[in-house]
Amino acid sequence: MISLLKQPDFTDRESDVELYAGERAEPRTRHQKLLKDRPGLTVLIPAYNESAFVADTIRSVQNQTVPPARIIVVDDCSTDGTGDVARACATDRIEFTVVRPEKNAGSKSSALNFGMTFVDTEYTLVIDADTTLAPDAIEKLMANFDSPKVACVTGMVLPRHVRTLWEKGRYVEYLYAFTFYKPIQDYYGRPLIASGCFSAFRTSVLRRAGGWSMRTVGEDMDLTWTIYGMGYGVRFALDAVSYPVEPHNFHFLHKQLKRWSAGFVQCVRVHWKGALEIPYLRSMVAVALWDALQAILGLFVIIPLLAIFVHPLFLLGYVLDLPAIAIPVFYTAYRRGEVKRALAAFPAFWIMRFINSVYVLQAFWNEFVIKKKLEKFEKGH
Amino acid sequence: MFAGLPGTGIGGVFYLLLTLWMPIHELYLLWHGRSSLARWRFIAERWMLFSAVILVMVVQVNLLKGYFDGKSPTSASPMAPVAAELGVDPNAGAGILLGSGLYAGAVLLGVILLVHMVRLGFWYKAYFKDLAHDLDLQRDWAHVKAFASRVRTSAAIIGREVRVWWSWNVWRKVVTAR
Repeated sequence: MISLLKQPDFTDRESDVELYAGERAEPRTRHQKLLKDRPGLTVLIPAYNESAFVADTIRSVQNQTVPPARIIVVDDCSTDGTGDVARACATDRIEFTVVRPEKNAGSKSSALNFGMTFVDTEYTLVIDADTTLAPDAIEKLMANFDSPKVACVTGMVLPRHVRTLWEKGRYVEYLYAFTFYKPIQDYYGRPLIASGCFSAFRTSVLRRAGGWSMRTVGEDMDLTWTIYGMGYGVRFALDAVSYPVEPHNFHFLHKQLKRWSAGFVQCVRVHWKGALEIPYLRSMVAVALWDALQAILGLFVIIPLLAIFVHPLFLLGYVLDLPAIAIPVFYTAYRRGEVKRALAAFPAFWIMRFINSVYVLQAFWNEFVIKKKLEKFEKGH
Repeated sequence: MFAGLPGTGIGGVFYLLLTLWMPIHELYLLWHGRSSLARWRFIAERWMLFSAVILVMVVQVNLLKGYFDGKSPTSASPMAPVAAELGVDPNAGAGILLGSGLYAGAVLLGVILLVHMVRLGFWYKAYFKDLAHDLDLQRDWAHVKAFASRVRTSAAIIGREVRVWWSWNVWRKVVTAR
């Protein structure tokens, strides 16, 4: 039986499959015959109380220009009927399975590791249960597995809804990060994170990496850096677009940012010796760390002190870099025909910067200073 | 760097430098037959964005300078004195840009140097660990003791043999004398 508390051992995979095969919709062999011309790809969807979103997610996968061989929904003991909603989406065209562990896995990593035991295809694609895909997303994503050394490809992420202040802030953050930083990271072969909400992996490498680690709450970043450490590459596909549901209120944003910030700091703690030997990654991580620390210091200490004691004009320091940030943001927004949306959302980015700083400061304090490690996984919506 | 992580622009400067480096990197790849037209197109797009960012910064600084001319007491840049040393007015747009650029460059260089120093530290630690292993006195003392023990054993054997031989000769001489 798979332990939900410890990292599973994938070497004894077949016995696990037998144990949990109860909810499989149809025999696997029949589908393997039907799907021999399709790419060997399984889409893994971990879901906990996602009945409101999971149907859209499954349909967006089913309607892909290049559909996967199989969809597996891991219903992590939901109490809102997520499993039933998912089962209702099954079609004859794609093999569809809903699996459910004996008890709630407790984290996304555990649920994914549980789902991994059912994967028997060459590639595994992971999407969150609240994430829909553009119709050609899988086609564009899988085209990047052009070398045996590429173990993972991650796609572009944009919020599905851009209505509240927090969604608007996240929209600009994503436009900036995914169109300015990430393509450059990809050019040098070192995307910093393969996004947890939309990434594809070579199943064999994923198994050798031990699946998704539970030692950090930033399981996607942890896995990405582990893959680099194994000598494999990660790619970023700008044109493969996914649309997750982002936190619409501060309650959920708080949970998400707490997890992201702690995840980053935990990954640095776990991987820093290994990362030092990986060209470009070490510089990117060092600069990210330094920049975050300096941002905290600048936003909350230096600028206010200078403005109070030297000259109020120093308050301009809060907005001086916004025009430079606006260039890649509006360039991408223009290409997507979303200039008005980006214009309306841009001020929210400025507010998000302060909020991000608070959570990163908290993560540094908790993880590095008082050694209080965040272990509880809380969903961001 | 990524959503959820704050920044000051130093990270942005690092990525602008990486953009500047791209053509040189691509020429290296071209030399090794690993370049492609798509990659050059990507570099052209990045350079276009890079130029736009620099242009916006220059325009912004000049606008600010024009607006605050005579009102601003000094440049906000910590490297403004360096700009002044280089003969550039720290309050002029170019001075502010140069000062900020120098500051960002110095920070980046510092961070990258620090990373390499830490790496060097690891190497030295590993080197000294090997050296300490080679000079492991305790282990060597054990070797010395083992060698001494072997010597003692050998000496004892030889001594016994000598004694036996001597005794035998003595006994033989005694017997022969009789």
